Amino acid sequence: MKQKLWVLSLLLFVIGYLSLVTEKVFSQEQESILDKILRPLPAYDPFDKPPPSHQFFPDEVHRRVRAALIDALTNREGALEEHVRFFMNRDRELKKERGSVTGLTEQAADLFTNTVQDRQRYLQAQRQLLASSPSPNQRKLIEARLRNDDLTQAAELLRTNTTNRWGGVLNRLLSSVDLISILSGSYVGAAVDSAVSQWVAGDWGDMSIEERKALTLYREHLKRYPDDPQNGEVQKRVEYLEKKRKRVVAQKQITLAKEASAKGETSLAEFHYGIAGFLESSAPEVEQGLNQLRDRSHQQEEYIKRGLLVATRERAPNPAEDRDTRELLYALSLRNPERIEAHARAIEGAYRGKGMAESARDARAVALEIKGQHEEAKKILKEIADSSLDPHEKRRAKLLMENRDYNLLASFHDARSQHRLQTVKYVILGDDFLKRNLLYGTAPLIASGPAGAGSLAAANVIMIGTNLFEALTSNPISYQSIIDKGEAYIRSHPQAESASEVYEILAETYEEVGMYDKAIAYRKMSGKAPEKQIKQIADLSEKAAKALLKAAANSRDRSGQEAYLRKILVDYPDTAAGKEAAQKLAALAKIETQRLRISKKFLMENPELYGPEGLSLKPTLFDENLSNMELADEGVSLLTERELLLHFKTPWGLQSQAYPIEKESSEIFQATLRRKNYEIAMGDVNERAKGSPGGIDGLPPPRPRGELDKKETETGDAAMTLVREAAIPPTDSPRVLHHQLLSETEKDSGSKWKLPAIQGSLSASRFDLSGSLPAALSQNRLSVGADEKSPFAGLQLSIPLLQGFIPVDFLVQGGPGRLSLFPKIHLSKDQFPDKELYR
Amino acid sequence: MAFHRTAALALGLALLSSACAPKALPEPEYLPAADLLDIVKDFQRVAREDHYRFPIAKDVTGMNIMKATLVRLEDYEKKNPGQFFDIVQFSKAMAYEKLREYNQAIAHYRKVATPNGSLGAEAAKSIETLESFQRILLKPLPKEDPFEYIKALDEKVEAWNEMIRKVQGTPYEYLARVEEERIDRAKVAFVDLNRHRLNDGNHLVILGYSQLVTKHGRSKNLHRYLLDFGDFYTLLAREYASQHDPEGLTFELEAFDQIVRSALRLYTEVAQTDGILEKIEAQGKIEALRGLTEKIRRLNR
Repeated sequence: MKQKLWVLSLLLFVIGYLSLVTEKVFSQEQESILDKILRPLPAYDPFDKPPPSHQFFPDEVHRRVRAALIDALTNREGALEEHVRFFMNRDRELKKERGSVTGLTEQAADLFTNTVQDRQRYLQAQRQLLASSPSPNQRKLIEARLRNDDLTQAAELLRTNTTNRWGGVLNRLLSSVDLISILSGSYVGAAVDSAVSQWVAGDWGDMSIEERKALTLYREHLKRYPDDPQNGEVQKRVEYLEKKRKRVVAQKQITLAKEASAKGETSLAEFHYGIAGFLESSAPEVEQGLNQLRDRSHQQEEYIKRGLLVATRERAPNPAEDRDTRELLYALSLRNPERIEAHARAIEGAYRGKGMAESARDARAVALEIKGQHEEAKKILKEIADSSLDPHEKRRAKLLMENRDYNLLASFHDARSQHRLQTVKYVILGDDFLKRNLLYGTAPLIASGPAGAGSLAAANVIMIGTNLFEALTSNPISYQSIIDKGEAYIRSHPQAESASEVYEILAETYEEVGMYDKAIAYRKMSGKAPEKQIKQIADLSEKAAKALLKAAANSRDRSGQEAYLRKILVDYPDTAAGKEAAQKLAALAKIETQRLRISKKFLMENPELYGPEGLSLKPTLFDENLSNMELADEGVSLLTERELLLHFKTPWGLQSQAYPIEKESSEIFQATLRRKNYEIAMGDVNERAKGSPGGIDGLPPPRPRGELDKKETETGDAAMTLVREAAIPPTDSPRVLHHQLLSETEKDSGSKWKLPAIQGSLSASRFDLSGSLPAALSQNRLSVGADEKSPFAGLQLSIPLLQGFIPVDFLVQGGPGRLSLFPKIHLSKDQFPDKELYR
Repeated sequence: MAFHRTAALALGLALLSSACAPKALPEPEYLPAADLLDIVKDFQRVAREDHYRFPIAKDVTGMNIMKATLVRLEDYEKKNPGQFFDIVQFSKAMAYEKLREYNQAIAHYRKVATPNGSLGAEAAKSIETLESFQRILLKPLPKEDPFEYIKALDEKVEAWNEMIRKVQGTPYEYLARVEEERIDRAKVAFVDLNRHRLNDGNHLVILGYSQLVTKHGRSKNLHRYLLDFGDFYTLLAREYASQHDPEGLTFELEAFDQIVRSALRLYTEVAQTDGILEKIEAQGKIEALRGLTEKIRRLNR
């Protein structure tokens, strides 16, 4: 028994001890886990030791480099040539002795060639340098210099222009030529189709962007090289292109003037004729147009003068009538509505059936107008216009009701009717009904007779369907006229009976055009009971917030994103999009998004940035092994010149810790970043347009110049934005900026799989839908559709062998039991930036 | 046969084409006034009293109603000498005062201001008010000292304020507001012209414009002022770019951008307002500013 008790006590002791130990161990583990979560990396040093500094022993090569740089700066061509020879000889000797070279010959030669001032000699020197097998980067730079020569570029552009112009004509011709079925096909259809297409396109008189840019480049050349021997020829080309440019622009202005003139917009027509006159003062059409406008203007003035005259004869003198008229005139002159109304009613009673009574009735309308009852006044005028027995009063009332400035409500309703009419017209006829029908219908009708009408009908059905879809989703007919007229009405008659209806319609219109803030404001002003509007306003707020959210997502500028998101939070905080905006803004404001962030992927793609010549980070941070610490995808954020924030991937999620960095390390990193920027810029220097920026996308502009980003306090609103903006409440949350360096795949990960724009295409004998394939798959075009014979699917293939000779693609189309092959000249697409500067 | 049908179809298309061609617009139709009653009715119908908020209305011919009425009354007088003399003179006086031709208005009111005439009492009251207007308007401004000049303008503003209080509820209230607004605008223009001579001249101009657009927020000229204010910021941006070469090192793009943003905000406010002609101007200015900014940015790159 004792033994049992002893065992039991021992057991209890062991259990008690174990539980105590377990609890202690558990609590220690707990503490450790908590500690790890809260302070995951207390003793971790992410930096590698800096490499030993370079040792440098100046020698003859160093002396020569120094001398070459000085000679380049002082433009001593002869001395530079001597340096180039020195480096070439030195390299030869070194290669013989040690098998290595100085690697400076190329740079010295580059210094020498860049001092050549004469264009021909400069280009010749660059070509020679290119022939001496330079390094790939040097090759690109030289190619860029040769390509960016103004004359070369201008000639290239003019060649492209000619190819595109004739290629377009040939394509229109070839689009009807099926090489496989041509033996059995109709030549007539193809010929007619080509002729009509070319006639409708009718772009012979136009001036392309390429030609205009070539003109600019020729001028640039004349300015840069005033003594170039080719200048005589260049000057001739400039004169020819300039003359053409003036003629084309003047012609466009004349067309605009004629359009305005046809609409009765005389001053606009005069404006366009004026511009055309500045460009081509001798153009007979300008003189003729202006003369016509002058005649019309004189005629208009005559009409107005006549309208301002008073009829020569007063009504027959009648003392009683004269007295009553005088009383009414006194009341009208004093703008006393009660008195006017009283006298007018008295006259109406006394002179029933006579002109005087009708005139008095009109005076009552004036009294109502003075009282601000515009709509009521118009009712009286309408009665007079409809039923007056006096033809003079009837005509006057009618003219007044038709007057756009007086009857603003009618103008507003007219604008709405016009809009509806234009929409229906657009659905049925499209914007160029006749042109399209000529294009698609002529060839089948001539080639196949009435049987070809089926093809034309099919084309029209598709056109109507497309137009209807467009009108329902985003109506291309502008709502601006309705908005302008509605605004004018409520500005003039805000208290009128019809104002409420106008507010309602304007709210709907603003909603249609996506201006939700105005739609909400006008709904509220419409005077409807608030409880009836709650849902409508809530829906509009949701739409408005979503639109702003979309705008924020589309904005590439961080401050722009922030502004959109803030607007949502201020104006539409209770919407679902408002909640989303709050989260997005919080994410933007997180510390890791601030200052210059460099993603892990970007660092891995550019290892020099994190290696010994960069941030000196340990390579283990990039080995995907969590046990030896791993950098998260967010990478690092350079908070200040001397502080780096590292984002770590840990079992507990993203953890960030800031580390100080030495001034020297920071400077080394900045220098490496600049060098990398230069390398990237060099990478596409021969493909980029002249003067366009290259380098790391997203790098803040001051960095390549060796400046750090300005501190937030320096960029805040200064006194200059002042007073008017002082009303804007200050924001509490930190401003986010800033810049981030991401790899290409991180910037827009889904872009290469996005569906491209798909176009509908109708030809004389078929209709189809076509579009480019996603970039990730291929650059070719795909089309599907059906013609009068059967459905088909086709692929446009570039033929590599022919690209350097004749740039032809082939459109292969397969349908049930048949195969078609259409040749197509490959046209050059505009690749240079700033196209708007040449339109 | 097939050819004939095809030709018929082609003809049909051609006919449709001609049917869709734009037609000549009908010429406007104006009806001359038959008598004085027609003239006065047309005048009073559209002669809005609040000329501070609204521009002068147009008559059916599209002409300024005040000018049109004066032409009609002249013609009426020529054709009917002496008829309804007092009414003609009174109406002319009203038209002149709305055109701010106070001297002419007073002269025509005087012709009516007989104690026993129906319009006499009203004309006398108008004369008294318009003479007060003239006294404020004709008060000379010191030309030697700019500060004295500003002070005198301030006194005029105060006088117009006093006048507004005095004629409140009458059509003259709006005319007095128009006059006060003109002095306020003149003050800003004066500071603008002399800003280089004043301490913090630019700030004073901005302050002036801010006060102008705040004080006259209901004026018909508000959008004009917003555009002028925007133009001033644009001028400052241009001056900044002239003083600090954008290709040099002293130019700060952020400072330039900040001024441009202020201009852009004002232009956008106008460009977003529908139904006003200033909208076209504002859109053009926004585009012009985009061009300027792009140019400066590239120079600074």
